[in-house]
Amino acid sequence: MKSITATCYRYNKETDKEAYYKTYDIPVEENNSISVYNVLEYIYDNLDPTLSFFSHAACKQVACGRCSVKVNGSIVLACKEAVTAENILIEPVNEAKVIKDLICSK
Amino acid sequence: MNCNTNYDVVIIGSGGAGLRAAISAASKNCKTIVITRGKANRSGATLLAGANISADIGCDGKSLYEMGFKDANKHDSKQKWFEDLILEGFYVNDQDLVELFVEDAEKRVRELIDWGMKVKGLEGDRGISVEGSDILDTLIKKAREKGVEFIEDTIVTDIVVENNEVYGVISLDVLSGEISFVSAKSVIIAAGGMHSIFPFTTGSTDLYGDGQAAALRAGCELIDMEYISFCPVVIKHPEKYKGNLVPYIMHTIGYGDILNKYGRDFISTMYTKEVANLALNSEWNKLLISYAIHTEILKGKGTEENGVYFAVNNFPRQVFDEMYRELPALKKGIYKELTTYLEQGNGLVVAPAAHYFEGGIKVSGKTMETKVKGLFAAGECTGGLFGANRVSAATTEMLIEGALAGEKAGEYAMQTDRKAYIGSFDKYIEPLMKPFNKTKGISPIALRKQLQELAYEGLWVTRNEEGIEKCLAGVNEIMQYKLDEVSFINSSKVYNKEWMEYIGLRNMCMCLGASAKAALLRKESRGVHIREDYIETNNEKWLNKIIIEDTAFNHRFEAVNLTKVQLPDSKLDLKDFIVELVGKLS
Repeated sequence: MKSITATCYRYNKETDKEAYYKTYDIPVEENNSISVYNVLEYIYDNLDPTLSFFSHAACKQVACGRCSVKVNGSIVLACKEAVTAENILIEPVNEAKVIKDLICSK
Repeated sequence: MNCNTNYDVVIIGSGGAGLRAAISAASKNCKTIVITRGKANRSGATLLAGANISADIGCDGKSLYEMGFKDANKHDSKQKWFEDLILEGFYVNDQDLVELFVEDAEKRVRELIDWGMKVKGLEGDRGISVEGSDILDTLIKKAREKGVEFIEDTIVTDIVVENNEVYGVISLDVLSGEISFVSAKSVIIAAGGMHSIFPFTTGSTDLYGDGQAAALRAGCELIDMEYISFCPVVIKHPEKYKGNLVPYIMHTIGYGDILNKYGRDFISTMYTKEVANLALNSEWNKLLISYAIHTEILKGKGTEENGVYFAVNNFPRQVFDEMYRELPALKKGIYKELTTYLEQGNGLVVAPAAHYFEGGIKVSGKTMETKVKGLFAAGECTGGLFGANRVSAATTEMLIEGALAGEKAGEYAMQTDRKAYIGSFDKYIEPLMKPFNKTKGISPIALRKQLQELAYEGLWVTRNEEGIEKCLAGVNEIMQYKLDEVSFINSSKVYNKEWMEYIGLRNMCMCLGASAKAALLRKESRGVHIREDYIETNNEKWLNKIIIEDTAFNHRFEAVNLTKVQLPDSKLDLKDFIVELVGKLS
């Protein structure tokens, strides 16, 4: 078992004066291959249910194209992007349009 | 709460059924709006049909031949197709719906081609191969031309009904957290399957049984809920590709092997030669391979992830080249990652995943109307068409049912003279808001996991009395006590995942409870409903339909609606009965 550290952009306009970053540790089995979407799912399911990321109509198979986030500065589809490094930074695609955490307005 | 503009027709869901219904309704000059959980042409099950590389739309061979597909079987007929569908459905299909299916498939295929959908070729004896996304793009373009409006990223939580007449829907905009009443003269439910009740599925994350559950709350009935199809060869591991059914497509064409943890074939040894041949070389593979893999895993011969291996032998090397030539999409995107993994000699861990729901909202096969006046349904959320086992294409179902539902809902909207809704909205809103008023309670995440575990124990590939009873009791307990105790850590209404999860849970309970009740009642094996404790298909006693009447899961039995095909009275082991059915196919 190895561990991945994901640093996530957080912002709730109702309660936060400004955005901040929160760090989560995610365990990954040695022979497994996971995506950024899997990381976000793990955080919500097991560590922090307040995290918002696109998930209400996600195909998880690189067909709907709606789960975009910024990973280490580059815009990617969360379900397509494999997590290989030990540390990743996950941010919204457009900070000016953030509604909550990783969710942006259209 | 917002009270939006008045519409003639509101449609819930934007897969093939919803979009096709919208085109029909707008063609009747109705002010029509589609409300959808996701993006209108990039959500729902249609998008992932055939892993979005090779979906099929069914049509009889003769009609295909007349459309110009010269390799199609011109000796086929609608009558032959009708009879085969009844055999594939183990004789319990609603024959009015089957009649509609075989009669209208040709029209629906022709119009899609006219509207610009690209056909890749024939698929099987009765179908054309297309891309799921292309079906959606073709339909949405037509719908927009007809003036259909869209509300996206919005969950319909309930249908507003008074005195058995429909008034509109309650919806939640997940981005803003705002709740609205959208008024309509008629409503069409086209919200798809209820995949999320299970922990492992081929569906996208927007398939919660919202339509079936809202229909039951609104006074409609559900039918055939015990029948749930599994796709046998779906990736379970690595996690990144979980739920993808591309190995099933590869295997159906003829590539690759399914092997247990020892690397051995087990399908051809488990069945008689005749049944194994059906499993490996016919469209009956969904049922038979799911049963075989599930049984092998139960025997302890699966991998540690509770799956089996799908592998493509790299010798001779040309096998891969041939596969890429046949399915060029396998060389692109994530499919390239997967085939590279296979080329390196790795096995993908695969297992059966919940895939399609034969059961659903009970409708009239002549109008697609439910028991509630002005409330219609179309597509996977309805029940009855395919009986106990779907072999033919669900894409055809969504198109033919959507087109008729849109037409009939449009006609209804134009002639109804009912007054505006003046009743209260409290009974719709209060249950949605309840968890926000609690500071301590049960997590909706924990409850979802518990519910999915119950579904897995009770309603997976094979079932038995003990498991189903436990499942039903668990659902009842959640509905009666635990849902009321749900509270959230996240107090925001803006994109609150716990809130969406809670709303989903209400619907999942309804669907799972109805399915478990029907599965418990049916003490025989028929089609995809496989009972370990009643392995016979008993046509003497069980040639009937189970109707779930209300939210307390009261039920009644109904005779099969007969028009053309007469029913048998045999009593045979499920596998022997399958051989008998296949022997009768045209």
